[in-house]
Amino acid sequence: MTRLWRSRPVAVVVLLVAFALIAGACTSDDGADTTVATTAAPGTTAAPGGTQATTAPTPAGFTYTVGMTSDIVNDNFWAFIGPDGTVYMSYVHGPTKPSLFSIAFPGLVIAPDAALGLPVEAVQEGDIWTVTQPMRDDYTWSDGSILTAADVVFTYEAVRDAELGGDWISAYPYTEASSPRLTNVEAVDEFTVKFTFDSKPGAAVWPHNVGVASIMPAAPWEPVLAEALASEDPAAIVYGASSLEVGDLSGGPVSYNGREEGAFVENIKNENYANAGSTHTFWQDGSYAVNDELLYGEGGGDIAVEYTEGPFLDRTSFSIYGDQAAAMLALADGEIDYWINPLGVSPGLRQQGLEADNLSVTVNPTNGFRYLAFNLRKSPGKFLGFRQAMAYFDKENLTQNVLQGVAFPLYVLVPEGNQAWYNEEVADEIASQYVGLSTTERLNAAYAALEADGFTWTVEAVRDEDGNILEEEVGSGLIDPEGNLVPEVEIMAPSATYDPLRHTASLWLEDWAENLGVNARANPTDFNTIVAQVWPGVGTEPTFDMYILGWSLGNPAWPTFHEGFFHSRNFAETNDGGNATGYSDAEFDALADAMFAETDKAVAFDQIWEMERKLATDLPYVVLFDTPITEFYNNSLQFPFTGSLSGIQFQDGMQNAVAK
Amino acid sequence: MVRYLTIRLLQMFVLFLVFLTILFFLINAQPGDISAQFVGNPDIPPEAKQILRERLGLDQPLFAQYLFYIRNVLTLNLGVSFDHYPRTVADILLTALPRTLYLFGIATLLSYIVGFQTGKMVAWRRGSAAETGTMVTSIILYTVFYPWFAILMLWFFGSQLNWFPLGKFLTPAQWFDAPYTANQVFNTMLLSMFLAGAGVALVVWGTGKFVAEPVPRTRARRILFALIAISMLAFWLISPMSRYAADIAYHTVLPVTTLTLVFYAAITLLTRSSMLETLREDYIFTARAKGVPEKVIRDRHAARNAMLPVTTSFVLAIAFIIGGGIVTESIFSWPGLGLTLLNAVNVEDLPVAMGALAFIGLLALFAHLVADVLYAFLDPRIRVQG
Repeated sequence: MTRLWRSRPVAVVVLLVAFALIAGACTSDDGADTTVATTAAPGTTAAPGGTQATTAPTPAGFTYTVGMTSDIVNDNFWAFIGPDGTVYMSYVHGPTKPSLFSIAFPGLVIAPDAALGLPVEAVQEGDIWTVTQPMRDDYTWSDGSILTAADVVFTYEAVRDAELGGDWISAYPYTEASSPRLTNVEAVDEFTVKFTFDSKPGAAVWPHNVGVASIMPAAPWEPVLAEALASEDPAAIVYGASSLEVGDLSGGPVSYNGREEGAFVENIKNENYANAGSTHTFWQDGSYAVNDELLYGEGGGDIAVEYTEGPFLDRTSFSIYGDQAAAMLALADGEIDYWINPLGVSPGLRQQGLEADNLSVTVNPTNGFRYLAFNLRKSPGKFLGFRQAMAYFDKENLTQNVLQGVAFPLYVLVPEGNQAWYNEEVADEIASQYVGLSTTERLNAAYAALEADGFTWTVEAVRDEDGNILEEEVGSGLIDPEGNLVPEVEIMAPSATYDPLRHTASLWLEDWAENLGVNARANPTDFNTIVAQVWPGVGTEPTFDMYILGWSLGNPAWPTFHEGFFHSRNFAETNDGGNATGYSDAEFDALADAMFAETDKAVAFDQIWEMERKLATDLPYVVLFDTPITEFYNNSLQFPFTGSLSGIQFQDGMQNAVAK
Repeated sequence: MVRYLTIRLLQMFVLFLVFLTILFFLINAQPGDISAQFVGNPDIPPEAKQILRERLGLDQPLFAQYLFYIRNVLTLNLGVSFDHYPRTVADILLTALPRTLYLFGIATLLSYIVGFQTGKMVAWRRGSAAETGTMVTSIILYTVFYPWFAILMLWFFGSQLNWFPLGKFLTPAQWFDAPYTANQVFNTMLLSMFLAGAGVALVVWGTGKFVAEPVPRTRARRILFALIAISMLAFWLISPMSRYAADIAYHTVLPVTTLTLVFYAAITLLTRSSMLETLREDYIFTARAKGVPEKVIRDRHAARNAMLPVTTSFVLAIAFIIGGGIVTESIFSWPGLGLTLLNAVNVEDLPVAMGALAFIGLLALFAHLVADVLYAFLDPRIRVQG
């Protein structure tokens, strides 16, 4: 072999091949993806909630390069809403389909999309409730054809007849278990669609679920559905069809245009986007107007955000990176404009981003929280005194000192960033029970709660002359109100490699529980193991003691998660529902039902905060903390606003309005 | 030999079934299932999870799932992915396979060629500064923390010097309207590499068999090797695919260099150790006593015998490169079998995880068989009974 390399002809040929390859690689770059750092002014960075009045983007086409650390699963929109619904799929496919209404950011209000005007209220017709919603007659699909009521009817019938699952069930609640159930959708005329429900739909269902449901174009998909319904497994046919081969259409600002698996995904500008050029104005007082037509409020005072919809891009190129370090390098190097990252960044990468001259950073609150849950079916979690005592742990110290400020403490479930639904007064009132207490005060309060509920100790805590618990001589051998020694309790939490924050919190809570006389054990547990123990399946009662997990909350415009997490009909053992703690309270159930059926936002707001008060008292969860969403993007990008709940990524990278 | 091969194949079949059984129950011992993906979204109603479980057959008893799985595998049906539903596992694996074969194939070949040559030379020059330098370098590279080293390479050559791209196997902007898929290009590149390799092997065999004299044989080989190289070059220069192949080749340089540096160190150390043992053999002294030139002793008498453990290691490595390197593929954003397997395990896509592992297991079994046969072929002292 050595001889081979010494051979001159071979060496020359090898050099030629190498030269040809390098030359090919260099000369064929058309430069379309280059996003070299410029000296443009840094992008705006807003406080949560959005306070800047901007923007005058230059409507010049460009390639918006976005980095992702995971590929999409497939190109099929039905599968995206169905079983293949990953967050990465939503970044690509989310902006490609219209709905009757959309949620307008940053104000998080319902705005008309394909509908004409604001949502029509449901009316009772005998035993049923109907909504007859007029639609725009100028809303176009990407091929220039008009979106009609027939498309809405087609989508509903496809979901129902092919028995599609996943989020389609909440979008078009057709199943027997749905309440209220959407029993029919019909086209009254070309631009009027009528929805029929078997009971009164609250705003949570109409318009906040059915109204914002994606609409599929009937023309390309009708043959696929016909083939599917003639087969043994209709859903598999619908999910399995290739959007490109079918000729799927877009109704959003961009159209899906293909992918190279594992390398990139491409969206291109929808030249027929019906909302192109429309202006959105949000005032500081919450008023909102589209194209100068006021939809909410009076429109007085200062403007918070005003922007014009594009799309101003020619295409979006989502580049797939294998890990976060590579994505951050690419961002800092100008290879990508923006890194859309739902997983959060490590402190090291965050620092790298902050030090890069060509990058801007925006920090936003998340639409979620991390929490400690108790099992209310067994001791000690079933005793209120124990839950109250656990809630007195020093959350500020944990977040500010132990976690070094990367997380912020939370006391209520509604995120502060959801300003339309956040009640600062009540939230502060709830937090005031815990904030600013010394360790001795916390111990005193926790022991008082335990004693009030009938707990005793094998070895009592030692108190000073003022009756304060001495930190060094706390009680041990906690005995529950039924006279049983509290056995070792397990606090399941994700391992340090999965989430160091929750892992650290579990160690902190283990210490605190031991201060209360409980033999506690923080158990770093695989995420799937926690899920399997917390939701063991219908008919099996969960046996955990406590666990720490997190929730990402759904639709922020009409939050219904209280019902999902705590209503007694949603027990994990009954229907695999979100209520894993086993919390059951008739008063809470009534409030949740009322809120779910409510149509008046002000009333629903009060109901939510009544539920928050109830939960702050009953404590099936102790809300722990969350981390802000930190996002980096190239200085050359212009977003109309960056201060918004869960950041730019929650709006799929703002492909409808980003400019460069 | 035929009887030996038959018995080995039967043993392999039984072993493969045992492997599949252990694999199935081990992977299913993981808690939870893919319906856990809906847990994080409070807007999705609980019945969606049940619908998904029924659709994927996860509501069936485990043993029924096992029988179904074994039957499928034996009929070459690896099933349907849970995560990429309703795409078949075979399709997913076949998409990832060429990318892994290409990257790790080149890196493995290069590292064995360079590593063997280096190991041979440093063993021959034992005690020299070159040996010390090579040993220190090899030990550093062999023991380096690979993820750190790979990120360092990416940062230095990709970000600081801008010589190479920051991972991925292509430049998206060049491929937006490409008439080929990346896999078509990968497959063509692999095919041309295979044909070139086969040509080289044929030349070596043919000239060895038909040209007796060393000097004309060497000349003939040089000319024929050059012809093969020119043919390849001509093909790629006129091929409309060349632009895309060049882009992939450009993206290959950094990961291949990184992998080669690490692999090569191990091969150098192995070859050196094997050579040093061989050089102590009596037949080497005999050769020297006979006055055989040093170069011939080194290359023909010593290196050929020292090659045995290296060859075994190479054959086994070829099997395991199919699994790819999860770390390499993650850091260099190279979506091959390693990343596919990692993702499948993370999201509990059991059919894909089992399919990938079964594939790797099968190749490992065959690699052992090939290694055994090759060993006997290379070393006349080893002969199969029967």
